[in-house]
Amino acid sequence: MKKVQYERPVIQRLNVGLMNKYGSRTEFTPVTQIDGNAVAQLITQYGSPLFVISERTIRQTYRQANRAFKTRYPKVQFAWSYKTNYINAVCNVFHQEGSWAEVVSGFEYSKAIYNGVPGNKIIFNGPDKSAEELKLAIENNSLIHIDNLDELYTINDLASTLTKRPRVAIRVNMDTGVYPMWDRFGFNYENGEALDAINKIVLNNNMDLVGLHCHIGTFMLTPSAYAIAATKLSELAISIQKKHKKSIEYIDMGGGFASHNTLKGSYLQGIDASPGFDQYAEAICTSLLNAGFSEGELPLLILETGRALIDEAGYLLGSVISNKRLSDGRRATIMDFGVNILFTSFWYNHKISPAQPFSQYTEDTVIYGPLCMNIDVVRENIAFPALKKNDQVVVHTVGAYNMTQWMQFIAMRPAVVLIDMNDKPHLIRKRENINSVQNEEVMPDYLKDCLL
Amino acid sequence: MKENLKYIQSAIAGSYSQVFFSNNQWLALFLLLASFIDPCMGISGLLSVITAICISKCIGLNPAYVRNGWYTYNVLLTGMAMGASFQFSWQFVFILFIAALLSLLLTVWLASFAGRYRLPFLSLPFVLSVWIIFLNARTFQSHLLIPRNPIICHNVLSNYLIVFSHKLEFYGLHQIILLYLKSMSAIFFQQNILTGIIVALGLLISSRIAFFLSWLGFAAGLIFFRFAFGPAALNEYAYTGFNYIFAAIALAGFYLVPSVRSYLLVLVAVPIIALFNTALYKLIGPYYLPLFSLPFTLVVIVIMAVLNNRYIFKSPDIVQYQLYSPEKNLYAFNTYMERFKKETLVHIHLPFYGEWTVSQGHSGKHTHKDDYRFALDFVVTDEHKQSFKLPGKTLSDFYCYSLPVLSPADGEVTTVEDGVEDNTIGDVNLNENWGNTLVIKHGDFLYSKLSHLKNGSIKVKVGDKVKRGELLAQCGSSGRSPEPHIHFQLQNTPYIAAPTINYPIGYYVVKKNNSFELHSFNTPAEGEIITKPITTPLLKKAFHFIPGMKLNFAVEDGTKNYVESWEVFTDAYNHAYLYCAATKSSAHFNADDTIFYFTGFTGNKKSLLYQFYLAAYKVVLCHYPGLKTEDKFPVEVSTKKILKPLQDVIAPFHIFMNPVYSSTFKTSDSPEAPGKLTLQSKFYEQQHSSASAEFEIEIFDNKINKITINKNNQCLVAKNIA
Repeated sequence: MKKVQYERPVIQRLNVGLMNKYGSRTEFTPVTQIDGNAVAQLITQYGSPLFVISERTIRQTYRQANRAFKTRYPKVQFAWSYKTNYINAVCNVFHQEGSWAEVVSGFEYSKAIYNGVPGNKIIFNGPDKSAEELKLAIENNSLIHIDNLDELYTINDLASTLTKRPRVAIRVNMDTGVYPMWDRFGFNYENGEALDAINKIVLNNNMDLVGLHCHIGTFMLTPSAYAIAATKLSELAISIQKKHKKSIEYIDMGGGFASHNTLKGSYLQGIDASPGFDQYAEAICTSLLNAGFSEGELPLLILETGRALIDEAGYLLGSVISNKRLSDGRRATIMDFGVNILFTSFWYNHKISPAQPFSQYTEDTVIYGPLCMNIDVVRENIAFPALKKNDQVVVHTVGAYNMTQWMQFIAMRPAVVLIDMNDKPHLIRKRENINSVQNEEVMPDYLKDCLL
Repeated sequence: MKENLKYIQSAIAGSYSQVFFSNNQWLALFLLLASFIDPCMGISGLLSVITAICISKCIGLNPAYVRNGWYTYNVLLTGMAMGASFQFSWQFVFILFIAALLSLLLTVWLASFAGRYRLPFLSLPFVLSVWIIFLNARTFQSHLLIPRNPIICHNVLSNYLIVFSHKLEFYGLHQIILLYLKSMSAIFFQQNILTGIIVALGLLISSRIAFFLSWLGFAAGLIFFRFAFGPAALNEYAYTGFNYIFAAIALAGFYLVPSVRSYLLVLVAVPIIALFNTALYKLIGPYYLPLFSLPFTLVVIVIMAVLNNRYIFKSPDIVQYQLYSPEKNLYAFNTYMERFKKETLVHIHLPFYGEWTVSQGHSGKHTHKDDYRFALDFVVTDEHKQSFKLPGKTLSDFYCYSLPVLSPADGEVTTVEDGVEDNTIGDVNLNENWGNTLVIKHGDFLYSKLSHLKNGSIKVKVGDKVKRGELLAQCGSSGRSPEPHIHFQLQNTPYIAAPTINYPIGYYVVKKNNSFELHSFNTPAEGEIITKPITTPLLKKAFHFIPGMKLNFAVEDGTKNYVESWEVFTDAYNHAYLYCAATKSSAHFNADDTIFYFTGFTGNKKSLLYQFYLAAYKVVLCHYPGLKTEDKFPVEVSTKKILKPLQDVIAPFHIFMNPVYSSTFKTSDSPEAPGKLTLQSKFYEQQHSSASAEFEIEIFDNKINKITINKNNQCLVAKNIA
């Protein structure tokens, strides 16, 4: 007979009346393993907390996205958004699937080069590009997406000193009918700024205008906004064709596709609220196909989607540090991970599953992180089974932005493990130790002794 | 002036070689020589040809037909017949001019008149004009045309030659060979062995097939003569035998592609010619008119009339584009059949983007039966060969549901059926079994039909003109469709339930274990993962040769450096070609959105253009990593020159020289939007031999940047210079 597990007692108000959607059962089922690897085993081996990435999920998701677009449009290219997750092993899974690299800083650019991405398959985005970095990008034949006029002038100046002609695109912002409108990056479409920048590039004839780029927002829940953006960019491309007799090689629709995470304040669960790749693809591709290009002249469609491709593949494993009861009677559980490594918990209600069996009883719980900071709240309110110290949990859909935006604050950053297609775990980033932090510090001689 | 001289020279040479349906300059020289064995005849022939060429120029006849001798070979024959029959005097020359004019007029008229019915005129103008002169000869004042005995020649040299040739008869040459040579010399109105030898030698040099055919015709005629008219008639055969020789060359070596069947046809023609010969002789003999080549001319015209009026065209095949050489005709025909036999006028493309799977092919086991056996069903599958993601219970779980459906070719929408609900998974609607359907007209009696479309997704209406690749509708599951798929078929009529026709898909790429194969004018098989080839702009632009465009290449071959320039031209038949003025070489090419290919090369094989012709014989303009293309070269490309004469002789029966071409994309900087590509191609002497030449074409900056040729351990590099 199986041993009955001990669970602390829970007092629950008795609900009477008609049936309602606030049933007593939880949405959770225990997640005891990831891609055939026992959670407990992974934690024993690599420590807690621990980020786990499923290569199988990455490849499956990528192929799904690829299929959704390639069956709707003849020329499609994905570019892996480095800022979403730039652990080299992860990047190379995407590169192996055929993805180019999309970087937004000199540091990310170096990472892409380090990973072996050929220069002409790197898209250099973002507002911060130094003259040195631009020079390198021009030499490498990379695609430079110009953000502002100052950058345009810098490239123009550089171009006259270099033998290679820069291959550039401009980033265009526009009203796609969603709020807030992102007008911070690039040149505006409606007020003619974009066309002005294009004229400057074409007429100066120091660089090749090869593409048009837009990135209309993040976690976009309405595919129709992409349809509007694609239409506007196509119109721009066709007007360039007419005015300057120049074909635009590609249209880069940026990223911003929603993952299955649930945004805070969202009534529906993310999995129900977020559109799938097919819906985004249909919106974008239909607009492009109907824009008026002849079949031979259809521009290459580049997609920089990051979040939707990696979020589901990432898991965070953690352990309960302690339980306590708050003054208002709510239960609080303190985990060994907090906003320091799970930055996205600021805007998502992450799904958290216990990693061991539990009963059907749940309690309204606040899940705190380990930081000695009031803001360190992972979930403000969750009906959670009663866990005890050292019980383990799995946080889902954490692949995007956490392994890049994590902080070495109070605690060290954990290890990252990639589970390959044969269910074999590989350590792809070591757990940080004190040296990881202190190596860069320089101690003036007179402060070497703390004198205590 | 220089141009004019060249024109006249070429027209004269053509007049001689055309007697044997050839444009071979060597043959022309040999025949000219042969005609001058009897100098009177030689001069008369040459004189009348020059006269005719001048007249043609003056009255503005088509210079192309004059230049290749097509209009003047009858004049030559007339002139020679005159020279052979009458004594040389200034009165004779006057009549000769008139005779030349007469035969030219008859030629031009017959060429246009018979040409209308696609009939040959052969030497009919010659026979008619000589008859007209002969019929007048005896009525003329006696000093105008004085008959001569061709055996008696007043020239010392020719006397000597005749004595020499008579001597040859005693050197043990077999009777039959002597008879053959006499027959050959009878073509030039002579009966001497030397002329025969010169003519036969010229024929052998110009064409092995024609030479073989001359023997075939001669032998067949001889055997039939012996059988039908007895041994006594053999003497007469020396005078009429050339009819069978000509018939064989005309039929099996000129108008028809040399083949076993055309050779058999010659054997059938021989007795008919013999019968014509005797009958015509009986008919015309009382007027003292020689028959010349009339029997064979009439029989060949009759046979060609019959062959041109066949209901089903099959072997013996008629030569469509005349190259004036049996070998060239045969090799060109074979190569064409190998390369383009299946090509259709309208190219039908796949009606979708991306990788789809043929879920039911032609004569499929579910519904593609009987009238509907030439239909195709397509779905999208994942790496596990599933067409849906789990749980697979709703339409949107199926990968292909609501994917765009495109127009397979340019056309006009003729039928639209919309408003049929999409079925739930597993259900079928047998009442409206085609579901939402589009029929598009692409040409006369060529319609395509797309069925089971998504309800309400059709974006076109009847009468809309659609372009290839235009978005028409979305994939759905209406009608007899248990799960979303596209039903695609081609048909002769615009009706929804029309029977299917077997019409190939123009080009499609088959994916097999991550490698790609381009299929042209074929039908995808069930289970194949196929995709519509997408043109790579870089390749399309690099191989887009606009008439007037100039290409210059700096060539380094290790020993010397030079520059070779090509220019793009188009000819009267709308065929584009690259022309290298320095080497007088031209390479004809053809290109669409999917393939660039060369169709032929003439000129200097040492030129860079020839190497480029070999290197870019067939280039797929759609870049798929590792995509391999193969094609067959014509026999002429083979470098094994020693075996070529043997190949020529047996070519109608067996081709053992099969040079092969293969090419593949070696490197590219990007699979989706390459800016730089290297195409590697190879030349093989035989299918499974090792490559005897390797080429690399580097494409960069939308042009052919560099061509590298590796042959016999020699490396030649040509760089494109602006």
